[in-house]
Amino acid sequence: MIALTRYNLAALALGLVIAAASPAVAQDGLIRQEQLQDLSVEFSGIATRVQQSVSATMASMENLATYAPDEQTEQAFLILDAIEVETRGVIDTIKVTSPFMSALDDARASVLVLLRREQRDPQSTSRDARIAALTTALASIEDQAQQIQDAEGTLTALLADHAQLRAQILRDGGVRRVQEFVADLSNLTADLGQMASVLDEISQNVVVVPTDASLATE
Amino acid sequence: MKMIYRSALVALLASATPVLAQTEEPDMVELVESVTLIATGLSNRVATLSEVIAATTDGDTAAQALAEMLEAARQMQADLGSDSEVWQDINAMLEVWGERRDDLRARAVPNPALAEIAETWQARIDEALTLRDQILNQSAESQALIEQIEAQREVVIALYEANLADQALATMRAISDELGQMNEQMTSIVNQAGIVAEPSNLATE
Repeated sequence: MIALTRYNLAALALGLVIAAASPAVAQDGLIRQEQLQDLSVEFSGIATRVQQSVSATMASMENLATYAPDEQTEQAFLILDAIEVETRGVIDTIKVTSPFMSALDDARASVLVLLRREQRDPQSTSRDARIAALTTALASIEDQAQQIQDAEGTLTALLADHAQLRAQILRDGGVRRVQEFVADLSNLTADLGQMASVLDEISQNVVVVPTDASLATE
Repeated sequence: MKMIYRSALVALLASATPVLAQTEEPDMVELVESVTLIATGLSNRVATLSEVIAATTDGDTAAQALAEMLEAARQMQADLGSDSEVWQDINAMLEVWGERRDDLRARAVPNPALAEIAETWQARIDEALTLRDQILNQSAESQALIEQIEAQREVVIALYEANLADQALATMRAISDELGQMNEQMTSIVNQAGIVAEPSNLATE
Protein backbone atom coordinates (compact mmCIF):
# COMPACT_ATOMS: atom_id res chain seq x y z
CA MET A 1 0.00 0.00 0.00
CA ILE A 2 2.88 2.32 0.82
CA ALA A 3 4.56 1.43 -2.46
CA LEU A 4 1.41 2.27 -4.37
CA THR A 5 1.27 5.68 -2.76
CA ARG A 6 4.89 6.26 -3.67
CA TYR A 7 4.25 5.38 -7.31
CA ASN A 8 1.19 7.55 -7.42
CA LEU A 9 3.37 10.44 -6.31
CA ALA A 10 5.80 9.65 -9.09
CA ALA A 11 2.90 9.72 -11.49
CA LEU A 12 1.86 13.05 -10.00
CA ALA A 13 5.28 14.42 -10.82
CA LEU A 14 4.94 13.26 -14.39
CA GLY A 15 1.54 14.86 -14.54
CA LEU A 16 2.99 18.09 -13.24
CA VAL A 17 5.55 17.96 -16.02
CA ILE A 18 2.64 18.24 -18.37
CA ALA A 19 0.41 20.49 -16.31
CA ALA A 20 2.84 23.14 -15.15
CA ALA A 21 5.53 23.34 -17.81
CA SER A 22 5.98 25.88 -20.56
CA PRO A 23 4.70 24.73 -23.99
CA ALA A 24 8.11 23.44 -25.13
CA VAL A 25 8.75 21.55 -21.92
CA ALA A 26 5.15 20.35 -21.85
CA GLN A 27 5.66 18.83 -25.29
CA ASP A 28 8.79 17.04 -24.06
CA GLY A 29 6.84 15.94 -21.01
CA LEU A 30 4.13 14.47 -23.19
CA ILE A 31 6.70 12.53 -25.22
CA ARG A 32 8.27 11.19 -22.04
CA GLN A 33 4.89 10.32 -20.65
CA GLU A 34 4.04 8.40 -23.81
CA GLN A 35 7.38 6.59 -23.67
CA LEU A 36 6.87 5.64 -20.05
CA GLN A 37 3.33 4.56 -20.79
CA ASP A 38 4.38 2.35 -23.73
CA LEU A 39 7.29 0.87 -21.82
CA SER A 40 5.15 0.26 -18.76
CA VAL A 41 2.69 -1.69 -20.89
CA GLU A 42 5.67 -3.74 -22.02
CA PHE A 43 6.55 -4.29 -18.34
CA SER A 44 3.09 -5.60 -17.72
CA GLY A 45 3.45 -8.11 -20.58
CA ILE A 46 6.84 -9.23 -19.32
CA ALA A 47 5.55 -9.56 -15.77
CA THR A 48 2.64 -11.72 -16.91
CA ARG A 49 4.88 -13.91 -19.06
CA VAL A 50 7.45 -14.32 -16.27
CA GLN A 51 4.74 -15.24 -13.77
CA GLN A 52 3.42 -17.84 -16.21
CA SER A 53 6.91 -19.14 -16.75
CA VAL A 54 7.47 -19.40 -13.01
CA SER A 55 4.20 -21.33 -12.65
CA ALA A 56 5.20 -23.66 -15.49
CA THR A 57 8.58 -24.17 -13.86
CA MET A 58 7.00 -25.09 -10.55
CA ALA A 59 4.84 -27.66 -12.34
CA SER A 60 7.87 -29.05 -14.16
CA MET A 61 9.76 -29.36 -10.91
CA GLU A 62 6.92 -31.25 -9.33
CA ASN A 63 7.07 -33.72 -12.22
CA LEU A 64 10.83 -34.08 -12.05
CA ALA A 65 10.66 -37.02 -9.66
CA THR A 66 8.54 -38.95 -12.14
CA TYR A 67 11.36 -39.03 -14.70
CA ALA A 68 13.92 -41.75 -14.84
CA PRO A 69 17.17 -40.70 -13.16
CA ASP A 70 19.05 -40.35 -16.45
CA GLU A 71 16.33 -38.03 -17.78
CA GLN A 72 16.13 -35.88 -14.67
CA THR A 73 19.33 -33.96 -15.44
CA GLU A 74 18.15 -33.16 -18.94
CA GLN A 75 14.80 -31.97 -17.58
CA ALA A 76 16.48 -29.91 -14.86
CA PHE A 77 18.64 -28.18 -17.44
CA LEU A 78 15.60 -27.42 -19.58
CA ILE A 79 13.97 -25.79 -16.55
CA LEU A 80 17.10 -23.75 -15.84
CA ASP A 81 17.33 -22.73 -19.51
CA ALA A 82 13.75 -21.46 -19.49
CA ILE A 83 14.21 -19.41 -16.32
CA GLU A 84 17.48 -17.94 -17.54
CA VAL A 85 15.92 -16.79 -20.80
CA GLU A 86 13.22 -14.98 -18.82
CA THR A 87 15.76 -13.53 -16.42
CA ARG A 88 17.97 -12.14 -19.18
CA GLY A 89 14.92 -10.67 -20.87
CA VAL A 90 13.93 -8.85 -17.70
CA ILE A 91 17.49 -7.61 -17.10
CA ASP A 92 17.62 -6.14 -20.62
CA THR A 93 14.37 -4.34 -19.94
CA ILE A 94 15.38 -2.76 -16.63
CA LYS A 95 19.13 -2.22 -16.88
CA VAL A 96 20.33 1.31 -16.28
CA THR A 97 20.77 2.03 -19.99
CA SER A 98 17.39 0.57 -20.99
CA PRO A 99 14.76 2.77 -22.68
CA PHE A 100 12.60 2.67 -19.55
CA MET A 101 15.37 3.85 -17.25
CA SER A 102 16.35 6.53 -19.78
CA ALA A 103 12.76 7.77 -19.82
CA LEU A 104 12.75 7.72 -16.01
CA ASP A 105 16.02 9.70 -16.01
CA ASP A 106 14.43 12.28 -18.30
CA ALA A 107 11.34 12.50 -16.10
CA ARG A 108 13.52 12.97 -13.03
CA ALA A 109 15.48 15.79 -14.66
CA SER A 110 12.25 17.48 -15.75
CA VAL A 111 10.78 17.36 -12.26
CA LEU A 112 13.98 18.88 -10.84
CA VAL A 113 13.82 21.72 -13.38
CA LEU A 114 10.15 22.33 -12.49
CA LEU A 115 10.98 22.30 -8.79
CA ARG A 116 13.68 24.94 -9.22
CA ARG A 117 11.26 27.05 -11.27
CA GLU A 118 8.61 26.88 -8.54
CA GLN A 119 11.20 27.75 -5.90
CA ARG A 120 11.96 30.98 -7.74
CA ASP A 121 8.31 32.05 -7.81
CA PRO A 122 6.89 34.40 -5.16
CA GLN A 123 5.77 32.61 -2.04
CA SER A 124 2.12 31.59 -1.88
CA THR A 125 0.13 28.72 -0.45
CA SER A 126 -0.40 27.13 -3.85
CA ARG A 127 3.26 27.54 -4.75
CA ASP A 128 4.30 25.88 -1.47
CA ALA A 129 1.91 23.03 -2.16
CA ARG A 130 3.36 22.53 -5.65
CA ILE A 131 6.90 22.58 -4.23
CA ALA A 132 5.95 20.00 -1.61
CA ALA A 133 4.36 17.79 -4.27
CA LEU A 134 7.34 18.09 -6.61
CA THR A 135 9.82 17.41 -3.82
CA THR A 136 7.95 14.29 -2.80
CA ALA A 137 7.58 13.24 -6.42
CA LEU A 138 11.28 13.67 -7.08
CA ALA A 139 12.10 11.45 -4.11
CA SER A 140 9.55 8.91 -5.39
CA ILE A 141 11.11 8.77 -8.85
CA GLU A 142 14.53 8.32 -7.27
CA ASP A 143 13.14 5.55 -5.07
CA GLN A 144 11.66 3.82 -8.07
CA ALA A 145 14.91 4.06 -10.02
CA GLN A 146 16.72 2.60 -7.01
CA GLN A 147 14.18 -0.20 -6.72
CA ILE A 148 14.72 -1.11 -10.36
CA GLN A 149 18.50 -1.00 -9.95
CA ASP A 150 18.21 -3.29 -6.94
CA ALA A 151 16.04 -5.66 -8.99
CA GLU A 152 18.71 -5.80 -11.67
CA GLY A 153 21.28 -6.64 -9.00
CA THR A 154 19.11 -9.44 -7.66
CA LEU A 155 18.57 -10.90 -11.12
CA THR A 156 22.24 -10.84 -12.14
CA ALA A 157 23.07 -12.56 -8.85
CA LEU A 158 20.31 -15.09 -9.60
CA LEU A 159 22.01 -16.01 -12.88
CA ALA A 160 25.23 -16.63 -10.98
CA ASP A 161 23.35 -18.91 -8.57
CA HIS A 162 21.93 -20.80 -11.54
CA ALA A 163 25.42 -21.37 -12.86
CA GLN A 164 26.37 -22.84 -9.47
CA LEU A 165 23.36 -25.09 -9.57
CA ARG A 166 24.21 -26.35 -13.05
CA ALA A 167 27.77 -27.06 -11.95
CA GLN A 168 26.52 -28.94 -8.94
CA ILE A 169 24.30 -31.14 -11.12
CA LEU A 170 27.17 -31.86 -13.49
CA ARG A 171 29.57 -32.50 -10.62
CA ASP A 172 27.18 -34.94 -8.96
CA GLY A 173 26.60 -36.73 -12.25
CA GLY A 174 22.94 -35.84 -12.30
CA VAL A 175 20.08 -34.77 -10.11
CA ARG A 176 20.67 -37.20 -7.29
CA ARG A 177 18.42 -35.53 -4.78
CA VAL A 178 15.44 -34.18 -6.61
CA GLN A 179 13.96 -32.63 -3.46
CA GLU A 180 17.07 -30.56 -2.87
CA PHE A 181 17.16 -29.37 -6.44
CA VAL A 182 13.50 -28.45 -6.30
CA ALA A 183 14.04 -26.53 -3.06
CA ASP A 184 17.03 -24.62 -4.45
CA LEU A 185 15.28 -23.77 -7.66
CA SER A 186 12.11 -22.77 -5.85
CA ASN A 187 14.05 -20.12 -3.94
CA LEU A 188 15.59 -18.75 -7.11
CA THR A 189 12.30 -18.81 -8.95
CA ALA A 190 10.68 -16.94 -6.08
CA ASP A 191 13.23 -14.14 -6.62
CA LEU A 192 12.30 -13.98 -10.27
CA GLY A 193 8.61 -13.96 -9.40
CA GLN A 194 9.21 -11.12 -6.96
CA MET A 195 11.00 -9.12 -9.64
CA ALA A 196 8.06 -9.72 -11.97
CA SER A 197 5.80 -8.32 -9.26
CA VAL A 198 7.96 -5.19 -9.11
CA LEU A 199 7.55 -4.74 -12.87
CA ASP A 200 3.84 -5.31 -12.54
CA GLU A 201 3.54 -2.66 -9.83
CA ILE A 202 5.48 -0.18 -11.93
CA SER A 203 3.37 -0.91 -14.98
CA GLN A 204 0.22 -0.19 -13.01
CA ASN A 205 1.40 3.03 -11.41
CA VAL A 206 3.93 4.98 -13.47
CA VAL A 207 1.56 5.46 -16.37
CA VAL A 208 -1.17 7.17 -14.34
CA VAL A 209 -1.60 10.72 -15.67
CA PRO A 210 -3.12 12.98 -13.01
CA THR A 211 -5.85 15.39 -14.05
CA ASP A 212 -6.41 18.94 -12.86
CA ALA A 213 -9.05 17.54 -10.52
CA SER A 214 -6.68 15.02 -8.95
CA LEU A 215 -3.98 17.68 -8.56
CA ALA A 216 -6.46 19.97 -6.84
CA THR A 217 -7.07 17.35 -4.18
CA GLU A 218 -3.35 17.08 -3.34
CA MET B 1 43.03 -4.67 4.12
CA LYS B 2 40.44 -6.81 2.45
CA MET B 3 39.50 -3.94 0.16
CA ILE B 4 43.14 -3.36 -0.76
CA TYR B 5 43.45 -7.02 -1.67
CA ARG B 6 40.32 -6.78 -3.78
CA SER B 7 41.57 -3.64 -5.45
CA ALA B 8 44.87 -5.26 -6.27
CA LEU B 9 43.01 -8.10 -7.90
CA VAL B 10 40.94 -5.69 -9.95
CA ALA B 11 44.04 -3.80 -11.04
CA LEU B 12 45.56 -7.09 -12.09
CA LEU B 13 42.42 -7.98 -13.98
CA ALA B 14 42.25 -4.59 -15.66
CA SER B 15 45.75 -5.05 -17.00
CA ALA B 16 44.87 -8.44 -18.44
CA THR B 17 43.40 -8.93 -21.91
CA PRO B 18 39.63 -8.52 -21.76
CA VAL B 19 37.97 -11.87 -22.15
CA LEU B 20 34.46 -10.87 -22.97
CA ALA B 21 33.94 -7.19 -23.63
CA GLN B 22 31.70 -6.89 -26.66
CA THR B 23 31.58 -3.13 -26.32
CA GLU B 24 34.62 -0.96 -26.73
CA GLU B 25 36.53 -0.57 -23.50
CA PRO B 26 35.87 2.90 -22.05
CA ASP B 27 38.91 5.04 -21.52
CA MET B 28 38.71 6.00 -17.87
CA VAL B 29 41.67 8.35 -18.05
CA GLU B 30 39.92 10.23 -20.82
CA LEU B 31 36.69 10.35 -18.85
CA VAL B 32 38.40 11.79 -15.78
CA GLU B 33 40.24 14.30 -17.97
CA SER B 34 36.97 15.34 -19.60
CA VAL B 35 35.23 15.83 -16.26
CA THR B 36 38.22 17.71 -14.87
CA LEU B 37 38.31 19.97 -17.91
CA ILE B 38 34.61 20.74 -17.53
CA ALA B 39 35.15 21.53 -13.83
CA THR B 40 38.13 23.75 -14.58
CA GLY B 41 36.21 25.63 -17.26
CA LEU B 42 33.35 26.34 -14.87
CA SER B 43 35.70 27.21 -12.02
CA ASN B 44 37.50 29.79 -14.19
CA ARG B 45 34.21 31.35 -15.23
CA VAL B 46 32.95 31.49 -11.63
CA ALA B 47 36.25 32.99 -10.42
CA THR B 48 35.85 36.05 -12.61
CA LEU B 49 32.10 36.47 -12.12
CA SER B 50 32.31 38.50 -8.89
CA GLU B 51 34.52 41.07 -10.59
CA VAL B 52 32.27 41.20 -13.62
CA ILE B 53 29.19 41.70 -11.46
CA ALA B 54 30.92 44.31 -9.31
CA ALA B 55 31.83 46.25 -12.46
CA THR B 56 28.24 46.24 -13.61
CA THR B 57 26.94 49.79 -13.67
CA ASP B 58 24.14 49.82 -16.22
CA GLY B 59 21.82 47.65 -18.26
CA ASP B 60 24.38 47.01 -20.99
CA THR B 61 27.12 45.75 -18.69
CA ALA B 62 24.52 43.75 -16.76
CA ALA B 63 23.41 42.13 -20.01
CA GLN B 64 27.04 41.18 -20.69
CA ALA B 65 27.43 39.68 -17.21
CA LEU B 66 24.23 37.71 -17.62
CA ALA B 67 25.35 36.54 -21.06
CA GLU B 68 28.51 35.16 -19.48
CA MET B 69 26.55 33.35 -16.78
CA LEU B 70 24.15 31.99 -19.38
CA GLU B 71 27.04 30.73 -21.46
CA ALA B 72 28.50 28.98 -18.39
CA ALA B 73 25.18 27.22 -17.71
CA ARG B 74 24.71 26.29 -21.38
CA GLN B 75 28.23 24.92 -21.56
CA MET B 76 27.54 22.79 -18.49
CA GLN B 77 24.36 21.49 -20.09
CA ALA B 78 26.19 20.67 -23.33
CA ASP B 79 29.03 18.98 -21.43
CA LEU B 80 26.91 16.83 -19.12
CA GLY B 81 23.48 16.50 -20.79
CA SER B 82 22.08 13.26 -22.16
CA ASP B 83 23.68 13.92 -25.58
CA SER B 84 27.11 14.60 -24.13
CA GLU B 85 30.18 12.45 -24.62
CA VAL B 86 30.63 12.10 -20.85
CA TRP B 87 27.12 10.68 -20.47
CA GLN B 88 27.62 8.23 -23.33
CA ASP B 89 30.99 7.17 -21.95
CA ILE B 90 29.51 6.40 -18.54
CA ASN B 91 26.70 4.34 -20.04
CA ALA B 92 29.19 2.43 -22.22
CA MET B 93 31.36 1.87 -19.16
CA LEU B 94 28.45 0.42 -17.19
CA GLU B 95 27.65 -1.95 -20.06
CA VAL B 96 31.22 -3.22 -20.30
CA TRP B 97 31.70 -3.55 -16.56
CA GLY B 98 28.40 -5.38 -16.20
CA GLU B 99 29.50 -7.85 -18.87
CA ARG B 100 32.82 -8.28 -17.10
CA ARG B 101 31.13 -8.90 -13.73
CA ASP B 102 28.77 -11.47 -15.24
CA ASP B 103 31.60 -13.22 -17.08
CA LEU B 104 33.65 -13.45 -13.89
CA ARG B 105 30.68 -14.80 -11.95
CA ALA B 106 30.23 -17.51 -14.58
CA ARG B 107 33.93 -18.37 -14.53
CA ALA B 108 33.84 -18.41 -10.71
CA VAL B 109 31.86 -21.66 -10.85
CA PRO B 110 34.90 -23.78 -11.70
CA ASN B 111 37.28 -21.27 -10.11
CA PRO B 112 35.76 -19.80 -6.89
CA ALA B 113 38.63 -17.34 -6.40
CA LEU B 114 37.15 -15.27 -9.23
CA ALA B 115 33.93 -14.65 -7.28
CA GLU B 116 35.56 -12.03 -5.08
CA ILE B 117 36.90 -10.17 -8.09
CA ALA B 118 33.44 -10.20 -9.65
CA GLU B 119 32.06 -8.52 -6.53
CA THR B 120 34.78 -5.89 -6.72
CA TRP B 121 33.52 -5.05 -10.19
CA GLN B 122 30.06 -4.79 -8.68
CA ALA B 123 31.42 -2.31 -6.12
CA ARG B 124 32.97 -0.33 -8.94
CA ILE B 125 29.70 -0.37 -10.86
CA ASP B 126 27.94 0.98 -7.76
CA GLU B 127 30.43 3.86 -7.61
CA ALA B 128 29.88 4.53 -11.31
CA LEU B 129 26.13 4.65 -10.70
CA THR B 130 26.71 7.28 -8.02
CA LEU B 131 28.75 9.30 -10.52
CA ARG B 132 25.99 8.89 -13.10
CA ASP B 133 23.44 10.18 -10.58
CA GLN B 134 25.56 13.21 -9.77
CA ILE B 135 25.97 14.05 -13.44
CA LEU B 136 22.25 13.66 -14.12
CA ASN B 137 21.47 16.07 -11.28
CA GLN B 138 24.10 18.56 -12.39
CA SER B 139 22.74 18.48 -15.93
CA ALA B 140 19.20 19.15 -14.66
CA GLU B 141 20.45 21.95 -12.39
CA SER B 142 22.19 23.57 -15.35
CA GLN B 143 18.97 23.37 -17.36
CA ALA B 144 17.09 25.01 -14.47
CA LEU B 145 19.73 27.74 -14.28
CA ILE B 146 19.48 28.43 -18.02
CA GLU B 147 15.75 28.97 -17.56
CA GLN B 148 16.36 31.17 -14.54
CA ILE B 149 18.89 33.40 -16.28
CA GLU B 150 16.71 33.73 -19.37
CA ALA B 151 13.76 34.71 -17.18
CA GLN B 152 15.77 37.16 -15.02
CA ARG B 153 17.64 38.87 -17.85
CA GLU B 154 14.74 41.11 -18.75
CA VAL B 155 14.07 41.83 -15.07
CA VAL B 156 17.66 42.90 -14.36
CA ILE B 157 17.78 45.28 -17.31
CA ALA B 158 14.42 46.76 -16.29
CA LEU B 159 15.75 47.26 -12.75
CA TYR B 160 18.69 49.27 -14.08
CA GLU B 161 16.35 51.34 -16.20
CA ALA B 162 14.36 52.07 -13.03
CA ASN B 163 17.57 53.04 -11.18
CA LEU B 164 17.23 50.05 -8.88
CA ALA B 165 20.83 48.92 -9.24
CA ASP B 166 20.98 47.29 -5.80
CA GLN B 167 18.11 44.97 -6.61
CA ALA B 168 19.62 44.19 -10.00
CA LEU B 169 22.95 43.32 -8.39
CA ALA B 170 21.22 41.14 -5.79
CA THR B 171 19.46 39.24 -8.56
CA MET B 172 22.71 38.69 -10.44
CA ARG B 173 24.51 37.61 -7.27
CA ALA B 174 21.80 35.04 -6.63
CA ILE B 175 22.46 33.57 -10.09
CA SER B 176 26.18 33.77 -9.51
CA ASP B 177 25.74 31.91 -6.20
CA GLU B 178 23.96 29.11 -8.01
CA LEU B 179 26.85 28.84 -10.44
CA GLY B 180 29.10 28.72 -7.38
CA GLN B 181 27.10 25.77 -6.02
CA MET B 182 27.39 24.03 -9.37
CA ASN B 183 31.10 24.66 -9.24
CA GLU B 184 31.30 22.95 -5.84
CA GLN B 185 29.25 20.04 -7.12
CA MET B 186 31.67 19.69 -10.05
CA THR B 187 34.44 19.16 -7.50
CA SER B 188 32.44 16.24 -6.05
CA ILE B 189 31.92 14.86 -9.56
CA VAL B 190 35.63 15.02 -10.31
CA ASN B 191 36.39 13.26 -7.01
CA GLN B 192 33.81 10.58 -7.72
CA ALA B 193 35.20 10.09 -11.25
CA GLY B 194 38.59 9.56 -9.62
CA ILE B 195 37.16 6.85 -7.34
CA VAL B 196 35.55 5.13 -10.32
CA ALA B 197 38.69 5.36 -12.45
CA GLU B 198 41.08 4.14 -9.78
CA PRO B 199 39.92 0.92 -8.11
CA SER B 200 42.49 1.46 -5.35
CA ASN B 201 40.40 4.43 -4.19
CA LEU B 202 37.67 1.97 -3.24
CA ALA B 203 39.95 0.78 -0.45
CA THR B 204 39.46 4.09 1.33
CA GLU B 205 35.67 3.99 1.13
